[in-house]
Amino acid sequence: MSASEEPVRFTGIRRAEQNLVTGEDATAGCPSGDAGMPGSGSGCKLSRRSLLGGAAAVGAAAAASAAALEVFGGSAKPAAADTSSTAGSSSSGPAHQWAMVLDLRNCDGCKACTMACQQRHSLWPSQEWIKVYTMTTAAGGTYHMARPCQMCEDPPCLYVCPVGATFRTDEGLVLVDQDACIGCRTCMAACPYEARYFNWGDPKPAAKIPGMPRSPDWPVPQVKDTVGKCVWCADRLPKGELPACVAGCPMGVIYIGDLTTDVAINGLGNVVRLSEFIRDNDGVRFQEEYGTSPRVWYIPGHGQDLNSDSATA
Amino acid sequence: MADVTQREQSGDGYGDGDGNGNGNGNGNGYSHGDGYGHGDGHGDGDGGLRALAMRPVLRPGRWWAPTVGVLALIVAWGVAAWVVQYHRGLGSAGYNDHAFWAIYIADVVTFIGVSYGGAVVSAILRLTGAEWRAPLTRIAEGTAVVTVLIGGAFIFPHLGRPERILELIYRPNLSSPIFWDFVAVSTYAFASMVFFYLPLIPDLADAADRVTAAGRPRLGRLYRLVSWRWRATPAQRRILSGSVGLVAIMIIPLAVSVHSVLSWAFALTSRPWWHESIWAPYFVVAALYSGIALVIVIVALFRKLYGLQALIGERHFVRLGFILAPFGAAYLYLTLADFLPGGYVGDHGVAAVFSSVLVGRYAIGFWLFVVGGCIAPLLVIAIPRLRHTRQIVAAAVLVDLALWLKRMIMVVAPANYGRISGLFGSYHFTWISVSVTLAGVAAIPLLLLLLFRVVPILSVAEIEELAHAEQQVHIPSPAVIPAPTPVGVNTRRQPSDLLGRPATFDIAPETP
Amino acid sequence: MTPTPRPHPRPTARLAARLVARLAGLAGLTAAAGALILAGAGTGGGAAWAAAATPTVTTISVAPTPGKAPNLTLSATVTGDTATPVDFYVTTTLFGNPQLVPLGPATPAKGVATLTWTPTWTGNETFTAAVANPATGKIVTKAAASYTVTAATPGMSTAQANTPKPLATFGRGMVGFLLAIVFAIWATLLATLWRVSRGVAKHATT
Ligand code: SF4
Ligand code: SF4
Repeated sequence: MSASEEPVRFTGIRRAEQNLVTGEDATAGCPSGDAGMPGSGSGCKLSRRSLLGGAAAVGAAAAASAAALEVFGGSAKPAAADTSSTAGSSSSGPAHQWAMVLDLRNCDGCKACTMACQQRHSLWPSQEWIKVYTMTTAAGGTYHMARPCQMCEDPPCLYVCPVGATFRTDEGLVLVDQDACIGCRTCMAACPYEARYFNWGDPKPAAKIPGMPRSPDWPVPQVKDTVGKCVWCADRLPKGELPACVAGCPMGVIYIGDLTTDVAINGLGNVVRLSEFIRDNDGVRFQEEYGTSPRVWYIPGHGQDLNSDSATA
Repeated sequence: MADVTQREQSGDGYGDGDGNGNGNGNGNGYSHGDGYGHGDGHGDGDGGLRALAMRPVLRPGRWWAPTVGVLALIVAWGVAAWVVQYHRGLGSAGYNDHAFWAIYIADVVTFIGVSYGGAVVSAILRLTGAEWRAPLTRIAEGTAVVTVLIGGAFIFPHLGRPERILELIYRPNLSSPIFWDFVAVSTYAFASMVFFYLPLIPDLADAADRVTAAGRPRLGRLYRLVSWRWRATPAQRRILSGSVGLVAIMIIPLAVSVHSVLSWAFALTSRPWWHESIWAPYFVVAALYSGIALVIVIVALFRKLYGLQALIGERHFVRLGFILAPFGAAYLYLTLADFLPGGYVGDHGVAAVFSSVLVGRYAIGFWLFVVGGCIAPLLVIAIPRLRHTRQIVAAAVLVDLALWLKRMIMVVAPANYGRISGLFGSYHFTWISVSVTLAGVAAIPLLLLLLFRVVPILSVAEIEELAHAEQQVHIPSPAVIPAPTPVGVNTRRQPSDLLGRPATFDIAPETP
Repeated sequence: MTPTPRPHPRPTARLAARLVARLAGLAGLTAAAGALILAGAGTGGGAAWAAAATPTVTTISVAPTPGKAPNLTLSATVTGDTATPVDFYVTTTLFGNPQLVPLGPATPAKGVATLTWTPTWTGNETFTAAVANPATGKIVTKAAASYTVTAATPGMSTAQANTPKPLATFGRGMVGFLLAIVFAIWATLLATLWRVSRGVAKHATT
């Protein structure tokens, strides 16, 4: 079953409604309601569009009556219903949990990933969704480190977004709905990885591609006065295509992978078993101390300490 | 009347709308005091007080319209700047990815912060039964309402997409501190309006006939409508004083919650210096400190503008100064407590931000704040020779400016810090952001002038009630106002109506 | 900021390692390292292998591991040289064209190399067993078979990757509590207004 024979498009981004503090799915955290209708009960993030008015928000939520809210119509579909699969999936749950591994042993800091991304997404040069930092070790050595969005399992950017414009798909991608973002930039304050870039003026114009209207997984062109960030080319993944940075890295540093099927691949066509690759090469995650549980692993390989080396942009 | 206002205008030049302008008039304040209410036509016994209270509504003076016009122009300019900003994008206000939060959020914090002062002066003094509060409460409560509205309005320039703000209501994320900011601010704003409105009821009932007689029948009808047939019957008094007390109690924790939640918009992120457990009380104290300072400024301004010197004397400013001082000291203390642990441990992000604030690029602003915003005002209040109206008002102005500066630093320094690169970005003021901010400043006197064009500036009922409790005190009629004999004051302490203990802030009146 | 494709100086060793890995269709570093070690360690290992009979993988069979569902046992029959490890692969189309995912090496015993694999996805899959020349990394012999995988467990559970958040329940409770307070405050304020308006109007006369 090849993706090219059987193209699968995102019919709609699956939004796993996230709960505060944990990032657990609201469906799991809220006892009430059916699986597809995240309840509004105490503490559960209200489903988008599930509330029609402020009075309803305050009153209904205070009454903690999730059932009453079903009247307003749930938008989220049951997760399994629109889970697309390209490689066959296990019987339940999302087919994939995307992850990345960056093998820093091979990174020479050429920034080809940054440029591939900026070209694909029509970004201004300052909008480095994947940004290559040059790190200096305590001993004075340097190495390079690319920083895409870490697609945190516990994304602080999501928790602080007041209107749920930042959301997380059930395949683990944190995306921004730029047609909903109010431009408050709280997410930029919250992201420990500085992965978010605002559109402070007009976005760079982009040629319209027929059949590809702007969506959270294809945020092109960007929207003025809203926030944008690396999306791991969420439009490509379901089609079995590699993200622009992965394909664009001539050194094969960046692996895109899937925790569920335990497979990862880089732009040179090297395929690895993800868990084994991370384990055997002592993969670490960046700034673990913030409790964000990133979906990106780094393989330092030269004994670098990602978390204490100083960097220059 | 005409020649009275003439005199006032030529004499003092009040109309400049400058909060600091008060200083020059203190000495001669009483000399033209005999002008108030002259020719008012309501020569009944206590008409002086009522005339004084209603003068801004009925005859604000010739300076009023030009002043309002100028202030309105400044505000309109700011709004125009905002429209330009909206079209060009937030970058035109000096923002960039390394200064994603800056002036507007500092303005939000500042304006909502100063609102607390009005609420607390009124609520706490009410709850503790400090009778000297009476002539101040209306102005203080009005300031609270006006500034919280302005502070809330600064959310609009702060947002990149203000037209989507209703999403906060119909698709909120309950785990976001920003959503709770919205909830807390709107709740507090509503409560402060209720707190402004309730004590207004007797005054409006009282003034309805007067404004009708003075040729504003529609205003009179409005007064009657919203004062619910108030006749000051014992039952009515009981209901009202109970309700006012309840709201006064509620407004204090509400205001605490607003400033806590505002601080949590910062502290709930992991950025160095924002992620501090002390920030919530820090913000609350800052709000009280700057808010009481603003009450001093506004009271001084309106005392001047509307000739209230007979009711509001130096002793009021001294007492407000005495309330101000402990908050200044507390703020200094919290500043130390804020910096010491992080600086001592020296985690690299925190150390970088702190050194930029204490000795680096923001140091000038920070030490200006320490000296000008904390130490100097404390000295003014501590040293008896300096403890006079003019100096206290000047100190209060300093406090407000310095606290705005402090908040700018608190917002911008951590936002500028690149957490991976360790480099600092920078924020630049632009004409747009400065215009919008100045518009907010001008909006305070503007809205207050407009507000006191429709409601009495003094809480007549309260003043009379407290004076009545003193039994002996008579409200001076305009013709015989002696020099600074304050109203409603003697050395007797009045038991607090709510707490049942003597008023805390009551001090002996100074001798003329 | 240099234009995209440009030649990169690569350390020779790294290049060699990659070459070996790529040619073999391997990327699992263990596998690559294994191959390298084998090549390097051979007391004339390469030569010995070349001299011996060339191995041939004749068949590969897939069967459930008894009592260890959903594990699968992959067995490859090798003839000729049976000292060189056999590498097992499963084909994935997750990223476009079919690609071989290395499942690991196994040294034949009595002509049969076996490997146990815990499937991470289901479907009709192609399994491959191959032997590469340790000196060149080139695959010299292979066999493939299809097998329908019916049960699978995720390779890495996301929970395992998570930092625990023990206060989450508390946070959820708190939001409900706070909403209730806000609701109570608004109700009290409105009730106060109502009480004053009604009460004052009602008691207008004593
Ligand atoms: S800027 Fe947009 S995405 Fe970020 S927190 Fe605000 S509304 Fe959410
Ligand atoms: S790296 Fe930043 S933007 Fe990406 S998910 Fe984590 S917190 Fe959000």
